[in-house]
Amino acid sequence: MVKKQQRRQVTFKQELVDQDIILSVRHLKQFFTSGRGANKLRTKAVHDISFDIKKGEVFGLVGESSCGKTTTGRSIIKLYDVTSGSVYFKGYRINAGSRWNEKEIKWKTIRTNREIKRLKKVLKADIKQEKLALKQKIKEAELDILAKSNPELAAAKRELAALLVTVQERKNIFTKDEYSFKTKIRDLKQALRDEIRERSDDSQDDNDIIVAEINKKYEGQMTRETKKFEKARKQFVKEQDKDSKRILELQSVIKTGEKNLAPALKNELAAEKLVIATKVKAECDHRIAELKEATAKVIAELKANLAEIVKTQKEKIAQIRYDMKHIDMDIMNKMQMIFQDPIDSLNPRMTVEDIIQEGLQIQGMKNRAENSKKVIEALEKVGLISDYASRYPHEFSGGQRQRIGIARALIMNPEFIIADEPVSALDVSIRAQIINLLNDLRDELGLTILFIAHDLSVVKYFCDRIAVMYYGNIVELTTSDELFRHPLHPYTKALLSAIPKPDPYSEKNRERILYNPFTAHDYREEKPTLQEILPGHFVLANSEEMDRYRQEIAELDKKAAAEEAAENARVAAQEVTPKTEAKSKAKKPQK
Amino acid sequence: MKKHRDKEVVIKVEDLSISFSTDHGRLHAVRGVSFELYRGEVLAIVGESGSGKSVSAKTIMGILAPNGRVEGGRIMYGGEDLTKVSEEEFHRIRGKKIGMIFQDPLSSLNPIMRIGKQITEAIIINGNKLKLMYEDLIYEDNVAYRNALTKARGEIDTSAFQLRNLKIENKYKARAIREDKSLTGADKRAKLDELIEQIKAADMEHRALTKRIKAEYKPILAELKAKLKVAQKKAKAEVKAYHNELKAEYKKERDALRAEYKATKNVERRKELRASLKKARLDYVDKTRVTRQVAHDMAVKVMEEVGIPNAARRFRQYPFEFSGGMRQRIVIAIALIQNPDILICDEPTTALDVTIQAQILELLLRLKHERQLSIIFITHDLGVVANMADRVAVMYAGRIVEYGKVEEIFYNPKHPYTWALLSSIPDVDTKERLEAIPGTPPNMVYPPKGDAFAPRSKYAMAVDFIEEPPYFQVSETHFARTWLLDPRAPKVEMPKIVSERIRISLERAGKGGEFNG
Repeated sequence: MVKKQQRRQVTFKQELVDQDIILSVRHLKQFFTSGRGANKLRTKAVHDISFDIKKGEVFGLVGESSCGKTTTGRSIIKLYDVTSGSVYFKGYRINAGSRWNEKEIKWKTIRTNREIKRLKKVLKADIKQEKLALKQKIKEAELDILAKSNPELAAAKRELAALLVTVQERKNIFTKDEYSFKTKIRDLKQALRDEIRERSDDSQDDNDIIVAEINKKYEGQMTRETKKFEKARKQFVKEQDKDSKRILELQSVIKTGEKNLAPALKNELAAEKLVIATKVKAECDHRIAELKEATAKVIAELKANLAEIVKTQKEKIAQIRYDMKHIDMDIMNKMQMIFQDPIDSLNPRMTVEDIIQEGLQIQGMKNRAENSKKVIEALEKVGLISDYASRYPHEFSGGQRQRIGIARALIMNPEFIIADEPVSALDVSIRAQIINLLNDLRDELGLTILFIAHDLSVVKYFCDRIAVMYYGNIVELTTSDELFRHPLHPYTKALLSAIPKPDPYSEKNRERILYNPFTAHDYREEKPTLQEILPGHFVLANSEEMDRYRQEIAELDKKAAAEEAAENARVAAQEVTPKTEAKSKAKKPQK
Repeated sequence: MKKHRDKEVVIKVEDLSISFSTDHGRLHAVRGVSFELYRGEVLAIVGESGSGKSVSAKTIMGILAPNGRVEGGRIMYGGEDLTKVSEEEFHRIRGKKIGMIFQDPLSSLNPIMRIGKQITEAIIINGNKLKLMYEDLIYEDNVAYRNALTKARGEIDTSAFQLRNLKIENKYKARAIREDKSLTGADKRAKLDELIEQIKAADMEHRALTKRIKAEYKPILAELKAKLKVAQKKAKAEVKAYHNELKAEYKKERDALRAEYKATKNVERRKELRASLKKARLDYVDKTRVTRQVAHDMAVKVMEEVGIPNAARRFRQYPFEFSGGMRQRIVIAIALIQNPDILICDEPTTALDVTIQAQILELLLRLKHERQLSIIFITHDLGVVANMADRVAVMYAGRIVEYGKVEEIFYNPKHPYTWALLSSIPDVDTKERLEAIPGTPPNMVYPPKGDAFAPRSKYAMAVDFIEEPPYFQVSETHFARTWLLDPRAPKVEMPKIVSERIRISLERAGKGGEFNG
């Protein structure tokens, strides 16, 4: 019978569309492997980040270089294959990685097998134990029977058995002691050699004295150890000798005793022994069977669990592979990117017109005349004149090239734009132009923008919500007003203090806050998670840091209130003075 | 006031003008710029791209592009005019007395050479002390000869340059004439013939000039060259003698030590003698040239000074093994290893992140303090200027539009361009909207009449389009080039966003709400 395959569909989450979330990044992980063999390195560029972007907002992703923000941007737009996690755009999953699922399968399989192995081992040990106990019982029974007729022989045999055990155990203990002694001596010798090598210096005068002193110290220790061991050894030898002698005695006694045993008695003993033996063996076998059954049940349960987990994960992996193969290009066209370097991102051998309409051509619209019209529209939207369409990129300044890059993105009528550091390479005075342009376009066309930057001051004006990234983790995520009102994470504070302000008095006295990730946090006991400390304000912290941050928020609020009160007082004072002036002027003519 | 009068002026730029000959015509990049650099101070030159700030710096270093020339003015350093110094003489100044660091550290470093080698390159190449001695001895004669040669060639070149400019102008004029529909064919031909005659005449003049100059200078050059040859021979003999002297001295000492070594059997004494032999040899070599070992030690010291950790180990690494901030430190190390007095920084932190930029600026200030450097810092970021500078020169379209101490520029700006720059900077403290400066800087092939910033300025008056404003003095150290400071001009307040920011900053610094002095 052929199993009917259920018709697959690309993953679509209706709840995202209902909540107006245009981009949802869930547990994104991006790892890059490089090198071979001993030099193999796995760089964890992005370490499990998740965020949502609502339609119409500007979301800022801020951090230093190599914090993973550019990688995030590029993974979202599918310039990289995602290692793990998913990216949902307009509800559809456009990019996903199956590494986590594969790892789940691998690790769960390994763990289950380990557990099964362990259980089997335990079972084996238990069985062995049972069998040993059985043997012991039979022996005891035998001796009991013998004791009824011949007590001395039985006693002798018992004593012999006990002595053999003692002798063996003592030998074991002594071997261990001997081994540890030898290791100690070896370590001391090595330490002596090391210290001499470190501290002695041929060219110094008092070298001999130093060497002699070191030798004396170590020799003292070695002699102490040797003495202790010698004493233990003597003790051991003495006791072993005593016991061996006794054993020999007993063995001769038993031999003569057995020789003197009557054959009829022997047969009787054997028959009785057989009866007891069979009974005890039956009990033992029964117990063993029980144990085996219990273990088999547990193992079967574990295997069933594993099979289920493997099935679900494989299904997910298959779904991911299906999603990645069946992406709807119409959906993907709604997401466009603006790149960082206006020089590098424009092909110097293509005219501006070619550059801008390249996207349309790739989508199959090859009608030159129509495309030209759209190009002119796009150019006018970004504030360039249509004459520029026939020029080459090198004829433009940085700001104009960036506008061409924006036009190239806009011509595809996107709903979502990823702007990867669009103003970092431009003059400070031109940044305002480009940012205002992006703002106007957002209002006009209803765009949503993911703005990646490394400068918090630029991001402050433009973004509604900001996420601060550090080495692949989001450390703080909140609205932009809130971030500047209550910067909590030490990295955010460091970033803020590094921004140069156009204010000489404050700059000359500026104390820059440095962020050292090793000393700023103590994550030995409790690992941090992204937690909500105020409504809409998330910070990466563990519980003791959360308490500290709450205190800081209270202090900051108090300070802000005091400042506002002072400001209000000043404004009120200013308003009073012109009024009194007017009053006095009005009074004069009356006189 | 009193403070700066005590400081000495290290570089004084007076009325410098630089132009480039391009395919579109002559580009007047710098038009009459003057500023001073005081010892131990940081002078910041601020402006947009294309305002001429990098060009001025490159001229101070003598690395102007071949199609650029100094049209006028002078750069006084150590009593000489750097614009007139020849390439030979410049070797003593460039790198040794004035160092420069550039914008993108990866472009400034050789990607396939280990950084240790790059740092020590300069001192090893210039480390041949005997050669230096030789060059010292023939310096004057060499310079005299070369200067005469340059002067002769210079005059010919100037004339050639003028001829070429004339040809380009006439080309455009000819095109205009050909396309002019109002003239008849004969008219056009007449005008074109006129232009051709003009060029022919200029050409003849140029050739006559060349011949004349060559005839004039021939005997002078011959005489100087003969003098030079004599001086060279003498210098060579002197240097050789000196070297032989050193060698003899060393050999004497070495033989003595060797003899003693053979004689004595004492182990201690032998050790001592071995050390002395080594020292004697190193001393001798040290006197003749800079060895790789010595250069290595100097380089490691400088690397530690600029804050490269594990300097000894990283000496043998390549630039790609460093991050951006570290590479910029290497570039600073290369600039500082010859112990210059002056450092010119051309936008060194533009390519770096905000936190790394803060580190590099702190490093530069520390080095300035420790080595008593004077720094010219070129940038377009006013935040960086507020951090680093003691004085600021704001440049626009090849002119300095405002010049003064940093507090004066930030708390009492007078030029509309400075206002525009200050209001376009996003500030973490204020909550105002960003105000962009509309338009773009003018094309410097056709320098605008009147104030260059007028077309983009909200405060432009009619006179701004007719005549260029002169410098108006706001205080002893503060000058601005704007008609708004003329006593006849209407009272204009700076934009509210700027005044608010100034008020808040001053209050925060505890200096009251107004700026005075």
